[in-house]
Amino acid sequence: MPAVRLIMSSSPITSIRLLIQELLRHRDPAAYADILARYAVPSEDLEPYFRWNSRHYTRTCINRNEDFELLVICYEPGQRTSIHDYDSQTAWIHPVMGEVVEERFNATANNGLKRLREIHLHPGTDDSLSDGSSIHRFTNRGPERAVTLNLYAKPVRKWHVYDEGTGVPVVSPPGPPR
Amino acid sequence: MKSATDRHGYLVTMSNGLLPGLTAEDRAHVGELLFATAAEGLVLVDEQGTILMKNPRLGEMFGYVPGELLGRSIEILIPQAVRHRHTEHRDRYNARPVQRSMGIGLDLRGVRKDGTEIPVEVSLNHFEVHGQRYVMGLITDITLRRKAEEELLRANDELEDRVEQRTAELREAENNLREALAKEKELNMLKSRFVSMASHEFRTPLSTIMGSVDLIARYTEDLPNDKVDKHVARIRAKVREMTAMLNEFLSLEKIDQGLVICTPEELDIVHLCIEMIEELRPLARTGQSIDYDHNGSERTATLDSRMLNNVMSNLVTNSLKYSPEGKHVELRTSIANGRLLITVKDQGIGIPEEDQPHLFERFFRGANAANIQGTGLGLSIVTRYLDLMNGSIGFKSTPGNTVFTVELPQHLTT
Repeated sequence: MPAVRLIMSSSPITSIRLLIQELLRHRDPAAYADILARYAVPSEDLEPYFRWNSRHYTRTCINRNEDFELLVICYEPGQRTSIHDYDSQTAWIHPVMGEVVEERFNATANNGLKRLREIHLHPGTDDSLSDGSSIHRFTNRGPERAVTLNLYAKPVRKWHVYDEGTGVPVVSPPGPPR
Repeated sequence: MKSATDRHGYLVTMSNGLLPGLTAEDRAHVGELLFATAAEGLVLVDEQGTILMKNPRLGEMFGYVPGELLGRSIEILIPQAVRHRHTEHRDRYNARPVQRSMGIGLDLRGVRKDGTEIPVEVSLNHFEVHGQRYVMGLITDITLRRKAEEELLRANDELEDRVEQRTAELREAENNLREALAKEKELNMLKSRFVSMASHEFRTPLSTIMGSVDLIARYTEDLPNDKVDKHVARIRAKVREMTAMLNEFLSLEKIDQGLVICTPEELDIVHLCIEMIEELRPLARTGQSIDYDHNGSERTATLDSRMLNNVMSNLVTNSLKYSPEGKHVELRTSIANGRLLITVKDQGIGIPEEDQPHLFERFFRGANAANIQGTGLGLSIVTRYLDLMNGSIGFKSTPGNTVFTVELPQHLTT
């Protein structure tokens, strides 16, 4: 935690350039939620970072440094992430376009997974805040394309994929087939 | 036959039977004619080497006018460099005179008045008259013969060179032919392996597809939607499987034809790996997990993303495919000292030791992998892509522990 905290502005952030500027100015996970709350970037400004792949969702880095990593995640209808966790750190998921459903899981004693809850994220809803060590999955159930802006405190370096079939009795049925 | 020493003191041998009625004077005249008109140089010296007689040819040969050589030492006709040795040779000859050719096997040379040297052949003989020994020499200028010999040698050398060159050409042609034959054999073997692989590997998915299509067709009315969806999904999966197999074969064909060009671009290794894992996730069996970890803060590389993705996908897919349910697959990347290191580790069936030397051969399948779907082309393609990116691959394998290691330059320049 820095000794002197910068005063947070309340004006909307209307471009990716400004967003990065603000993130770089603060470089403090405690400030990221407030910064993303001011996000008012038009989609066109983000479009250069959109990538679409018919076989899997895509991850495109906008900015990365030792303190944070900002990614654009693009999902075609029906695409979803694996059930995964990553380095233990905080991530803010800001919905930009379409709707993604976040499912959260808990590891069970018998190496299974138990689904805890489901959160629907779309423009206008609150950002999802998650600890990297929490096990989760994002799905675009369609019918539109979906985009989220993911901000990770510290760049992601680890990725652990869980088997969907493990602990079948306690895992809710996965989303629609890809 | 009759031998005599005539009035001029040289030995004349002739047959009375062939030249009947010649007087001694006639015979002496014939001898003089022989001496004067001989095509070889003739010289008569005493024991001290003083020239007492010589025929005209000798003077011509050495460039002296008539009478110029008489009374001079024979050494005047010997090149300066070997003149002193000639004196010793002459003394030895006088001590034990025999009729012989001079300097057999040696390159004898005479020196002309103008200092130029000529190759010669010399035959020596001796005789005695009134207790005085004389030595007669027959000297032949072999310049033309030597030239002819040299030309012959040169021609021989040229001929040998041409023979050698032709032999080399023939040998090369033979090698080319052998290589072409070997390639042809290899091609035939590959074709038969492909036919065998295709007939074996395509049969199962085709049966599944046919079964699903039959069911859909037969029970269109009665089959619930979810069952139709299930069969459609199954058909899609099997068609995808077959397409992947054919794509592998076509990839190799394209690489072989030099149609695959390496195009390096800046990559974020971590996100490339995560995307690749996310794409391969559906291939995992029950309980299998994939664990990825990147070591170090440096994570940018300049490589061909398509090729790198193919290399890693092949290795991770193999790990998933050859590992039992519930086992982990680990993918690790790190960048240090300008090198990108990738390791893929699994707890699968392993590669039998006797199969390991053949692992990167086309269509090769391990003895313990016969019942697992595969073309035997994946690792061959991997090595070809790595060649194109100046990378290398190695592995260690025992049952339950197989590790593939790939090393690449962090930044590939074209």
